[in-house]
Amino acid sequence: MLIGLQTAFTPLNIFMVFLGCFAGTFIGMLPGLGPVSAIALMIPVTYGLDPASGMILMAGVYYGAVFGGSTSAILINAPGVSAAVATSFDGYPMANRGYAGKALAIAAYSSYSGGTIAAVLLIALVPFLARISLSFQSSDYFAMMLFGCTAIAAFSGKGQVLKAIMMTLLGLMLATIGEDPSGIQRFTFGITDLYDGLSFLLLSMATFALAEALYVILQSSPGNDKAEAESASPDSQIGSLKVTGSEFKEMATPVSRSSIVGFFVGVLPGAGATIASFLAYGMERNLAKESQQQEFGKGSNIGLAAPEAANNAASTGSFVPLLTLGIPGSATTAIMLGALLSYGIQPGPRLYVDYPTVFWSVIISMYLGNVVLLILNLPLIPYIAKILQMPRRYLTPIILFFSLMGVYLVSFNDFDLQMMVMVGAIALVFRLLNFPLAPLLLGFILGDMMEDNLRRALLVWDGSFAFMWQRPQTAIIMLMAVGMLLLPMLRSLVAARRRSMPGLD
Amino acid sequence: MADRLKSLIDNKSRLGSLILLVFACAYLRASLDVQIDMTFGEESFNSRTMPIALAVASIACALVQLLTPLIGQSSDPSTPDDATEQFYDGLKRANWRQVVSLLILMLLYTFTFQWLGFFLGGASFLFCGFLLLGERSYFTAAIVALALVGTMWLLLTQLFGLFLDSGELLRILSGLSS
Repeated sequence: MLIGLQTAFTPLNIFMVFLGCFAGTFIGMLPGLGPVSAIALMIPVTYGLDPASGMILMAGVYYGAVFGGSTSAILINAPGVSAAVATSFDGYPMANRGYAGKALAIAAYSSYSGGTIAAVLLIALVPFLARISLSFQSSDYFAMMLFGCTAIAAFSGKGQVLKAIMMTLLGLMLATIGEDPSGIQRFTFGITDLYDGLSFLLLSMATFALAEALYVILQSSPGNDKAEAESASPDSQIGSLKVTGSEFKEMATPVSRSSIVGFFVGVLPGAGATIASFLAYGMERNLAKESQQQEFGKGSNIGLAAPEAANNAASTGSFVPLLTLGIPGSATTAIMLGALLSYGIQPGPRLYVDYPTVFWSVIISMYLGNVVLLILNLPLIPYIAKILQMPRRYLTPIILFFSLMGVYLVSFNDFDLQMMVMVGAIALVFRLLNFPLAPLLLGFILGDMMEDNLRRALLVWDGSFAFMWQRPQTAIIMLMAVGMLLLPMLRSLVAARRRSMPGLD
Repeated sequence: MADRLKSLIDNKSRLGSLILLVFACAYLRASLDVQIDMTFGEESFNSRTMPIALAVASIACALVQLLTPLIGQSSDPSTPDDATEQFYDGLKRANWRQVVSLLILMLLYTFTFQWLGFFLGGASFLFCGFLLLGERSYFTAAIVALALVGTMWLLLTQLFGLFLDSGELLRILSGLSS
């Protein structure tokens, strides 16, 4: 560990962390260029560096891009990466209410806390966690995906349970478009552009950025174009960055809880930051007091802090299988695995023994990356948030252009652009009909993995669903999922009972 | 019959459910056409299993929402009452002109993308978008659009080394295309 400290704190490597975080934040803010693209773009730069510096630069880029993704999710409701979707649920309404600066500050503090807690857990538990992550089977992963889906409970306020379930099912249905795990084409109708299915970015940009931008225009008065054009957007207030002591206190426990959950979910290969952020959001909503629950989805501090802490902690956790087993837990760590291999380093149980400098310097740089992100981004927040002060007549077309461009940069296919406009128009209709769009995205993200793991679990268990109750790990996760879904219903039942029997109070 | 249909879609929740019901039925129909891989014989979980399960669950949920008016009505503001009236009133007063114009502009942009390319297509889209949303000065709209797309083009092609299609039109103009 001392070797790691010495390596990470050399002037060159500290500069690399700064450079990585800055470049990552900038790239991550552009829709379509998430952590995966950011790291891929940095690979040629790292060739000229020694392995430790190269990995430190990439780790910095990773954290920066994750934070950058959250920034665009908060400011313009355009989560360019799936891990930032849950951040937009409360981040964007908060920015809309004139607290953009505060929302970005909470995101920065929560990310820092999540990353710090996860780095401590990583240092303490690496060998133990590697064994646990190996013991997870398909049935456990399937149960995890179901557990992730229970985050829809968070959107079940005001009689929306059935609507949220329907939208989740719609997302799951959209996820079946394209080639299935056995190689059979489904719902492609002979259109070759659909063979790979719909992309997450397409759906995310269409349902969030595009639909939201159009919805805002729809609400503006048609007869008042000039006044509208002259003024900045109504939500242009950046507001103070200050987070009060009581707010910190309110968020401390949820952030700690979400960081721990996020880290352990991140350790599981394939689970990753997205499920972690959804789980944390759903869990914190369920655990919040009734008054705090009402705030979720409207700009709740906890609703923003929990997924941010969880996705950052999960990003750190995803390094466990990479560094200890050589298994990339996510697309991002897969690219990093490629980079390590190009240096002639084979990650796995021997990495710790053969390349202690690389192993520990990457772990130390993760913590350093979090500190640098905080130092770098807090002063930049007022400038970043100024984007909201742009007049609406400029901001809306720019958001639409960036969303379209983001999708194009991933697929380089104009069919995706046409599809995106159509999905955006349909999403606008559902937005008008008061159907929540977040569960749609949740179902879409989890759909592929859920089917894949269910199929494998059934293969292992000879087509029997008995794994749900006979395998203890699966059964425990399933029970937690059921509990998570039933908790809000039980709460409302108890509340209704109390209302009907005033004497109980 | 017409009255019954009208009452079925007299609130926005049920209208949405009706749309989802139609989609789920079409999806179920298409699910039955999905091929099954018989290499390993008849499997308990095949390519149709998940889609059919999802379609059936969606149809069930949509029917519950459609046919059980009491579900969610106590707290859902979107019941056939004043809220729904306000919703339809709001729709009538909404800024449809700009939204439809922008949707058409986006579709035009996507269908002419290969022809106009990243730079010309992007700049034209932004220029028209600014004007549609109320910018009065053609000069300002053009400068902002060109500056923004130009910066993005430079950044993506020169700094990040990404390939961006310059478009058939520019190729013809520069004599690169037959």
